[in-house]
Amino acid sequence: MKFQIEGLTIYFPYEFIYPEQYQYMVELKRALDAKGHCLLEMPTGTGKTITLLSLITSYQLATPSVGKLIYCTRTVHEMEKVLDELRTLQAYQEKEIGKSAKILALGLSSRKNLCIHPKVSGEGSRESVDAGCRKLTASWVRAAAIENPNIETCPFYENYEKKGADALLPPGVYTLHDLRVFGREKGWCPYFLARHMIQFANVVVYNYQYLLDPKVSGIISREMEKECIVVFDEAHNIDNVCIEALSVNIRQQTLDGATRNLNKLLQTIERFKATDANRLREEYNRLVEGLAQRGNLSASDGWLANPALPDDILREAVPGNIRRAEHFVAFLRRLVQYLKGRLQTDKAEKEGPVSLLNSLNTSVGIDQKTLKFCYDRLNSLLLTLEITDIDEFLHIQAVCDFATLVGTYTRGFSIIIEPFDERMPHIPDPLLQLSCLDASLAIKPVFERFQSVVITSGTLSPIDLYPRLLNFNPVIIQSFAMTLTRDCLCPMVLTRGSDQLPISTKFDMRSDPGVVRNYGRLLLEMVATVPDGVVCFFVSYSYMDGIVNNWNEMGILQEVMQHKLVFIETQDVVETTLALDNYRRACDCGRGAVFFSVARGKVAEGIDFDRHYGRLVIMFGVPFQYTLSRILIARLEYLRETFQIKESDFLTFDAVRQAAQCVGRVIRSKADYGMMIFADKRYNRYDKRSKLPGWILSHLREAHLNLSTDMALHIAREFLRRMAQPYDKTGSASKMTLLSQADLERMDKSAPVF
Amino acid sequence: MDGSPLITVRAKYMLTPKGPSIPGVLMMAGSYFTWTPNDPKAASKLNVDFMTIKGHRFSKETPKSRKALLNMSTDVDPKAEGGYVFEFENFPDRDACRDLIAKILGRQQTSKVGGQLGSVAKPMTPTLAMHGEQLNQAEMERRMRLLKEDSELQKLHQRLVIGGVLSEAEFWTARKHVLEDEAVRLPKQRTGLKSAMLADVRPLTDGRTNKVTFNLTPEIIHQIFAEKPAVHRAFLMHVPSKMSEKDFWTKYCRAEYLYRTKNAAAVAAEAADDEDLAVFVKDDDIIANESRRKIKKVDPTLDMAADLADDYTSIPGHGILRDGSRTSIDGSELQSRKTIMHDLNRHAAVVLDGRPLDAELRDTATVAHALAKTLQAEPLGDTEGVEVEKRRMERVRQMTEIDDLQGPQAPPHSVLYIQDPRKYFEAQQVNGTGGGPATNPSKVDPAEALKTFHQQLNQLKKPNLTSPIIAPDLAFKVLNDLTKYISTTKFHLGKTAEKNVLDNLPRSTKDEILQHSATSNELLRHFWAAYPLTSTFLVEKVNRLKTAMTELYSQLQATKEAVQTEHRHQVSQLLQPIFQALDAAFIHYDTELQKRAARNPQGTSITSGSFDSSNGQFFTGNKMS
Repeated sequence: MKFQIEGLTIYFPYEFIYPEQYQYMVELKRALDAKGHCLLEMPTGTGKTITLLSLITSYQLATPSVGKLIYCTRTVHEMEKVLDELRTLQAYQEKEIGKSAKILALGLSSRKNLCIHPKVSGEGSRESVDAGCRKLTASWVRAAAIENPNIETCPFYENYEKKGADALLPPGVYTLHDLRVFGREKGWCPYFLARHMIQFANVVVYNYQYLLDPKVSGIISREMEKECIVVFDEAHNIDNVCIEALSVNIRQQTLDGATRNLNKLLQTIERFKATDANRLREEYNRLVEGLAQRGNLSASDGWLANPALPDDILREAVPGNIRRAEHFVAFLRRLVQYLKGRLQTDKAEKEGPVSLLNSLNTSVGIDQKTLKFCYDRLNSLLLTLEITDIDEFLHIQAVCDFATLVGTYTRGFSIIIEPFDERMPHIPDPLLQLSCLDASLAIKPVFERFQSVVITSGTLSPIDLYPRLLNFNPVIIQSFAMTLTRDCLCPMVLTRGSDQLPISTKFDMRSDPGVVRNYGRLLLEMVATVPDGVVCFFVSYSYMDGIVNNWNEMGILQEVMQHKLVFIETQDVVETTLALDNYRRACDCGRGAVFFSVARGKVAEGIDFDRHYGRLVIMFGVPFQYTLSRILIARLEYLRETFQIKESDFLTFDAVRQAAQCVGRVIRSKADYGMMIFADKRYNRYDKRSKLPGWILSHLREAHLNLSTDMALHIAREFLRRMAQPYDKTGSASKMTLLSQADLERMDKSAPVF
Repeated sequence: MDGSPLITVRAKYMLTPKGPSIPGVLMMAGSYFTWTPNDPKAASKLNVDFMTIKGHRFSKETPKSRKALLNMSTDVDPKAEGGYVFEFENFPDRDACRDLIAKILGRQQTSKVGGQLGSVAKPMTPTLAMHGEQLNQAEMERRMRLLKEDSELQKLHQRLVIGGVLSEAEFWTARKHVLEDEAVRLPKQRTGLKSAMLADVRPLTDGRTNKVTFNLTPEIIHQIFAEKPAVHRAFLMHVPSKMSEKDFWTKYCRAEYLYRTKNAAAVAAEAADDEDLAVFVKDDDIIANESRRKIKKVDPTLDMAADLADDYTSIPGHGILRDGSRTSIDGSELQSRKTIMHDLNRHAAVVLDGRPLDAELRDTATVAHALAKTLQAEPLGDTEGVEVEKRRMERVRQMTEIDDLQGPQAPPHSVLYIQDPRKYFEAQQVNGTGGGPATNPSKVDPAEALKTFHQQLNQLKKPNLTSPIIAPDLAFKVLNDLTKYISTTKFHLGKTAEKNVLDNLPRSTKDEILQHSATSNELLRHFWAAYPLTSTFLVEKVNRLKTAMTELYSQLQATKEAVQTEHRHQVSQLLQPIFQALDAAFIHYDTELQKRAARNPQGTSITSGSFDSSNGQFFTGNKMS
């Protein structure tokens, strides 16, 4: 359908639109008009992605001055979904307007997902694929290959390079898979082609970290213009991503590895001194002129960039004491030695960056400015020494990353040294954690650089907290309600088992056999009642592990298996992926299945359990963070001091948003339906419950609070029976839940002009 | 007829299929065949009873190979060596022999099997295997299965093919679609595996002694093998060469028991001592291989493994390690913890793959080998990459589309395609005007048109339009009579099972009628399909069919007369259409015969002559393609 919003023609690839989608578009358009950032919460299951894409591409068509759309997703599979929706939209726009609507849209991922070299792509991890690629495409390798044909290069990269500026992607929408297919067809390297094509693309879809993590964003996103529209979808966890991006942990193994790396570096330096001293001298001169010179390195040499350096520092000369390669190695040796000393502690310590700098200065004579340059100095050295097996040098890179962060930021960080893990005190495992406490640090450059940043998700409640956490001023903050044709959501709060004993995952109750059994009975009853897919979320891996073992011994698991197959999320991603795939197959074929998963886990973050893949979600317990964690305590302190956010508020907010996130995966459109059970007595308390997003709260009726298992069972039966009845899709006249083009035109005429 | 030779032809006998051939004369009788060499010294005379012949094969008539070969094998497997190979001078000779053999063998089989089962339903299936057309194994199996599943079809087959009215190929060509459907159809729904974890055998204790008992059935063992490839591998490797089966399972149960009692250390220790036991524990490589293969086919919308490559916080040394939201589990602990979750996932995957063994689950060795075979066969499935890719994309689309925003789907009508619209619409127009003069409207004088129109209008304007045409009470009565039936059926609908006339009849009559009608349908189909008669073969076929139909006609008459008086009327009504159809066929046959006689008196006499002599039995003719 095609309609107008305040003079802008919107192309929307469906014949109907939900009212909230329309509202969402209106607000988003206003934010774009105002050239500001915005924060939008819209319930899951209302087609957020297509709404965003539709409005922004239509906006781009109408106002060519707007830059490209940078769409950030959390996962590769979400990326594929976005691109697929975009393809539908694109086909529609082209049908309506013709060839002029053609755009170039592509997804970008790491080499591991894009490489088509038969040998390199078969490597196991990302680092080894990166290193394998570098072995074949580094400038010196290629230079050497010209003289010596026995040296192997990558035929795809060579073909791509030969084409030079002619190597272009024709307009269209390319998923990672399409890029690989195209690359194979042409014999070009899809990874470098995609990176090259970013500057011409109208829509780029990639992972958050390509914008937020300075290590990668420096390379990938450097050349994005200011007029770009940046969208962070599913952004409820964005603060955690930011914090993770700027945190470094150093363990004993890291330091041991770093020492090995340094030895190897030194050997290489000696070898170069003997054979090619010129190279080292050239590097020295380059460093005198400043790191900005890095820009004229060839594309394939670009590596992880500086974690956090502003541009002006890059033009400064590198401090004299680390300019010479062997001096730098000696400098790092001192640093590693110092850190090793710090790890030899038998009690936990916590300090700020400033005191660490002081101690560094006094004990080993290392100053802040030199630290700041560590990361780039190391990369420059690795390039000069023509080191290709970069995956071996991760340890020393981590140390340099640490050094640069400590040298750059004096606020918002905290250094925590723990001799062992709190929960396993008998195993010595010293850890030095540089923990970022302020989420706004990583995202600040994004807000500053780009004109419009859209942060959106299904669960951003309480929505006023996010501007504070991320320290920005949105022009629009809006939370949309969900209009439902029928009550297709059925949230329940379950506080007691069938024996009327309270259930909870509170620390003192969780291992009580009565609670474990009541949880088990709940699952059993539900599994016997609900058709197709049932999803269960637990508060943590260790808890899930324990309770599954208990259920197995009690025989509950065996009884569950008489009704449905059981699948479990494990820490092995491949196994989990296969389990999910099998889970879907089990739901498809009608056998039905239960999936056990973990809040805050990978599955909770990105996998949809819509339609028959999830008719019921059970959230076992409240997914609080581990409150005794020093890192968490440090962060809470920082939040209180800097943003005046109370600890308990933040903890509850965090736990409830995770729970909401988990249960929200169950519904995708208004034709879909699903039940949600919050199984913990603490959900019954107003302060917890009220933090749930509005679209869940509005369906949480008084009668569905404080239930016991048998009452919940009764409600579930009733609900399922009701949902099986046929209904009118468009809703009753008083409550329109589907709008057609004609409806919109009527609304447009009657609406007052703003 | 057994004694006299039915066919005598020249044929060369070949000692081996590829070897030299000796010219001679082949004679076939009802129960045996003989072959006499032209040169009495070249080879000895053959005299073979058909009872020893189990199957036969023959060469296809292709432009490339002009050798008309027939191989009668003494083994059930037609591919096996050992048999009599003859080379004929031409194909018609060979085909005649072939058809004869097919019939004889077919009769042998039916009488043999029929003798065992009683003569009620003679399984026709074995005949198929013997039949002359060069069928591959799969095709034959498919036909056999169809016959086995459909008793109606089987009866029909028995009557027509075995009765010699139709040849095997003719019978099946009319059912090509059935065969194709059968071929396309996914293997029939099989019972899957049980959801319960059988492999998770629980030990039984008797409570008095310190003894635990494990019960293993072949079904459990199958599941153990499927879920724990290491055990399967070990079994194939060690049993029975290195240890006895009992020892093997004792060891296995020991390991299981130790696991169950949470004595991971003891397992490890034992495994270190006993290298055979160690193999139970290590199955990582097999499963890893399998998952590597499977992960490629996974739906991209849930491929979390691909995410790992974009996750820069997972680089060692980056991100937050111990914040409580993540639990780091160390190696030793991982081992023991992993088992239950791992087992659950593995079990569910195996159940979903649901490959119950085709072989009967009897003893462990067969189970192990059958499983190995299915596993080996599987990797071949990977080849259809495009198909997999398409399905994958299809699923992504399903996952992204919002269905209730879509407009109503167009009903699945096929578009009316009119080849020549002018012709079509003109024809319609003629119909519309009731066949009146098709005047060209452009030539009509408007004034005249108006006049005609006025006239017509005046005709309509009857003064008594308001008065009823028929008396109201009469109209009501008629309406009532007409709708009564509708209302009653509506009322009864769904309440009583619909009564069929056939249900009132005695069972035997009913079956007979149904079978007759099926037979007549089949015969009529073939009969009408044979026209126009372009070749002598078709003429013969029609003759054969006509005889069969005449027979059927009389049978129907007999059935009709045999039924009891109370049903006679119904039955005759039921049979009426069949009679009519048959009559129509006969009339057509007669007129056609007269026509042909008028056109070509000689040709008819030849065909009718051959019809008489052959009596529809052994006939030289080529197959319908």
